[in-house]
Amino acid sequence: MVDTMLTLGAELSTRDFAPTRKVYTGLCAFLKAKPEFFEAAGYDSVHHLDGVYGWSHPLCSPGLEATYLDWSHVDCITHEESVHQIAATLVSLLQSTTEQPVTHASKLSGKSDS
Amino acid sequence: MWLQKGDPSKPALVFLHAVWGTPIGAKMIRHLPGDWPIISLQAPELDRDCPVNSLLERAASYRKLLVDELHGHNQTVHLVGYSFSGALSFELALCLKDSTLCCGSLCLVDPVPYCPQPKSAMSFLMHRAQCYDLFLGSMLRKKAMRMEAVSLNDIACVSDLEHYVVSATSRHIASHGWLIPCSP
Repeated sequence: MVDTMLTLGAELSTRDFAPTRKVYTGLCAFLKAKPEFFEAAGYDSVHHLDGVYGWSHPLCSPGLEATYLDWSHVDCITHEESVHQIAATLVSLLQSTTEQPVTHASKLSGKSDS
Repeated sequence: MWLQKGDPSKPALVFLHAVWGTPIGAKMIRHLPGDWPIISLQAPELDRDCPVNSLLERAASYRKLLVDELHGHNQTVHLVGYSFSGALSFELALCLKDSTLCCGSLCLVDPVPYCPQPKSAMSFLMHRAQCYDLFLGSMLRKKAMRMEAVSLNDIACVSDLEHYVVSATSRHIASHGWLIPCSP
C-alpha cells in the first residue's frame, strides 16, 4: 500500500497546469477540511484568494464557495458528522442535476456547453 | 467495487480512491438513497500490475473501466474525489467527454490544491516513513512516529522501517483484534 501511495503521489507531479487547458464547466461541489495538512505539505494554493485552493479556474466557477468540514484532512472522510455532511452535499448536488442538463468540459475560451 | 447496485436506470455515484488506493465511501452509504448505484474505485496496483505513468493515463484507464462496468446502465456518472482523487476526478470528468459516459457532477472533498507539488528535499526513506505515518494515522488512529524515528536515526534503512511498521501493526492487531477500525 505504501508503494501505491508513492506511485500515486508521484503521478500528481504529472498534472498539467497550462492556463489554456480544458476546464470543467459542469455542476460541482467543493468541501474543505482544516488546512493544516496541506499547509504542512507546503502547498502554495492553500490560502488562495478564491477560497477553494486555486480550483476556481479549472472548475470555471469564479463564485464557487466551499462547504467547511470542521475536521482534519484525514478525519473528514471517516468522522461520522463529516461523512453525514458530505452525504448531504451529494444528495443536494445530485438532486440539482435533475433540474439542469448535464454538462461537459470545454476550452476556457469556448465555454459554450454548460 | 460496487458498494450498492441500486437502480441501473439511475445515474451512478462513483467514489475515487485516495492516495493510499483503497476504496472510500463505504461509511456514506447509509446516508444516501438506496436506489442509487454506487461504485468505489480501488487503485488497481494494490492487487496487480498497472501500466500507468501519469494522472491523465490513470483517468483514461478508469474511464475504460467505468464504460465496461456501466454497460447497459444509465450513462451519467457523478464523481466524488477526495484528496489525491480530487485531482484525478477532475481529469476523469474532462476525459469522459470522449466516451459514452457523461459527467453529471463533480464533488471535491478537500482535494489536493490546484498548484504544482511543493519541492521536497526529503530522502526516499523519510518519504516512505511519511506515507506510513499518513496511512497508519488514518487507519489505526496511531500517532505519527515513523518520520520522527527516521529523523532521530533510529531507523536507518528501508528494511528497518518495514520491520518497525510490521512490529507496530502486529502489536496493534494483538491488542485490538483488528487492523482497520470501524470508526475513529
